Amino acid sequence: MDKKVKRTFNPVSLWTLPSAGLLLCLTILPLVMLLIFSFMNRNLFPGQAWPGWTLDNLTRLMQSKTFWVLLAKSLGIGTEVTVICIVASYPAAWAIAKIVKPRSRSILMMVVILPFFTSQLLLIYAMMNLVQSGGIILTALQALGIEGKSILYTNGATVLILVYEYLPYMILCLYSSLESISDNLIHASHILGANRAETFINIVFPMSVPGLLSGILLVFVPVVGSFVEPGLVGGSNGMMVGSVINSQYKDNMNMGYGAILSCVLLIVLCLIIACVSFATKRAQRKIGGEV
Amino acid sequence: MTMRKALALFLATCMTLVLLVGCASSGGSTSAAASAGSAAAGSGSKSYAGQTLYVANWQAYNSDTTYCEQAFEDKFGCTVEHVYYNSYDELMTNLQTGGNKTIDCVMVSQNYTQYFHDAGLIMTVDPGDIPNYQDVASTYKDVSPYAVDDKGNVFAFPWTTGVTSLAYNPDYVDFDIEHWSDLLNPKLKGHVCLYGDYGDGMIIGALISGQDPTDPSSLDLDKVAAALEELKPQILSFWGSSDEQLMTYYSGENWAGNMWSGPYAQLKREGKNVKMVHPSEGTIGYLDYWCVVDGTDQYDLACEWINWIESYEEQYTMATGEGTDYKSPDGSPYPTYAPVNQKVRDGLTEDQKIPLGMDPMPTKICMLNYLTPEQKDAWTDTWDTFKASVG
Repeated sequence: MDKKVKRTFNPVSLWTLPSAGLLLCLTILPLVMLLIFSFMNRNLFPGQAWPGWTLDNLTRLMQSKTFWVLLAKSLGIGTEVTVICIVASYPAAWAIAKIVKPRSRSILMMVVILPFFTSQLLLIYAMMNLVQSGGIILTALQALGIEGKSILYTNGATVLILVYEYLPYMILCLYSSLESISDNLIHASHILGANRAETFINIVFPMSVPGLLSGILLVFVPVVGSFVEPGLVGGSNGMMVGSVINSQYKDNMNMGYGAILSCVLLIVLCLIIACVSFATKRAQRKIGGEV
Repeated sequence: MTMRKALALFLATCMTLVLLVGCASSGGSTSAAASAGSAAAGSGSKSYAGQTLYVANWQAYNSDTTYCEQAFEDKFGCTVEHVYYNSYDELMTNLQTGGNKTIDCVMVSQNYTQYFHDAGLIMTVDPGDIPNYQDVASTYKDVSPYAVDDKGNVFAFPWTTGVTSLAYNPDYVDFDIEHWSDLLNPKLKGHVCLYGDYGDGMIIGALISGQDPTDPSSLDLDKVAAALEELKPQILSFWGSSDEQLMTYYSGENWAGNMWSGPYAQLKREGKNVKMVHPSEGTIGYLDYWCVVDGTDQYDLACEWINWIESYEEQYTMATGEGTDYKSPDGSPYPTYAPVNQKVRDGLTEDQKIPLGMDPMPTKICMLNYLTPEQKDAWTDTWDTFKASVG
């Protein structure tokens, strides 16, 4: 029988304590507090006694048609924005990773990350100025004799702004995966008779799945929870689930109800991401096999 | 390997320091008792050299203009630091948790002063410590329950007032709008912009449905919801700031809706065609107050600040944009707001009153009253359901 290997304590592992502490304080503890606050009576401020436990928040949530309808709407918009970002990002990321010269690659990467250098709100206002009635785009179209209507204050404007904001994240994530694909594999695929579509399906896509999953995570999750963009450009029907949660903290000052709404959103998003991850990895194994 | 260990040690040390700093208590304290003995002279006779007063307000809402802030600093030899907030909930949380900086004075609207007072965040102040308070118009003085508790103690001092009244663009609207229900006219479909706040929205819904919004306990929310549902097809968007409401006006998409006095005054000053009407059934009013934070260690200076912003000098410039040697940094004219100082109000000309929404004066002003937590839940649910277009 094999002897059990005696584990010795490695003092180097103590160096992980600060990062573990940060993870505990900044991620796990707030999530636990969110769960606890979900069953709290309204608000708790420092120095005040615990306001009491209640199931009213849960009852109110179950009876709230508005929240569930907006949740479904937000998931729909999140899916739409994510799909658009994926479709637009693959060609861009492939071009940067495989087609352009190395010298141009860094310039193109700088162009992709340029929006990060400025305030998100400024970007939104800039886009609003472009697409509003009397804005640059409609004025130019009118000059060409094309009559157009502004898409501002519609769900279309919300999708446009969100795609504009989150496209760089998807491009960067896909780029990191595509860049690691060896050119020899692509070359071998062509030599063996596969066309471009077959090469993409059997070689490129399976190997880009890690980047794709990261991109989906970075795009889908924040888009579903966004409330600033729909509030500014979404018009009369621009409300999303993030707006309802925001109103509980900003207007209603009901921390407990806001917390339970946030918890439900978090659980739903985790389930969806888990399903997407499972499905994508399954597709990766089935189509491309292990590489 | 040694280099790696050194780098790992450096990174671990940095992260540990960040963790410790983040968990440390905030600097500054508001725990010192207020010294109620010395009265605020209001004439700059006491020197406050080297002292700093922290005041909390919305950004670019008058108090941080040079003629207000800079003039006060020059008068008293102190420094004024503004702390900006984006919502009263944020301000309340800031005060409850000690704030990023020590806050001595806060600006709060009438519908939130009671919450702050009940939470023990703002203190009662002897009006004798603020001599200019006696010049405040009687309409705005000692208003209970916004500023006075049931024992008659004053905890909030009025600063400016205004209306969020009905405004429309005659360039696009070829009929007179006189009542909130006129917003239901099919000609305005898709061109009405409303303030996104639930308080104003529910008041409008109540007025359209023929109810009195100032008594929340008697309000039939189903009727309010039905009135708002009728209004929904008319809505282009909901605005939340001066910029947002002005943007839609400039682009010609906003033809009618409610509008704050400040942006209305700005449009009038710019020569834009805009009409503001005060519906006879009632218009939405607001009254903004300055309060002293409970536990401040700058009680005297805080009283001097409130005394200054209620003074004739400051209130006149706030109402007219004139009468000051302090110019705005970019040379643009100062935004104007309606004063509460009676002497200033008496001295305003008709031309000066019109952009402030004071001529004609509203016949009936509806202010959002204190709501119980259950009423707030019901109001926000009704409003969110309306905005979400959920049947």
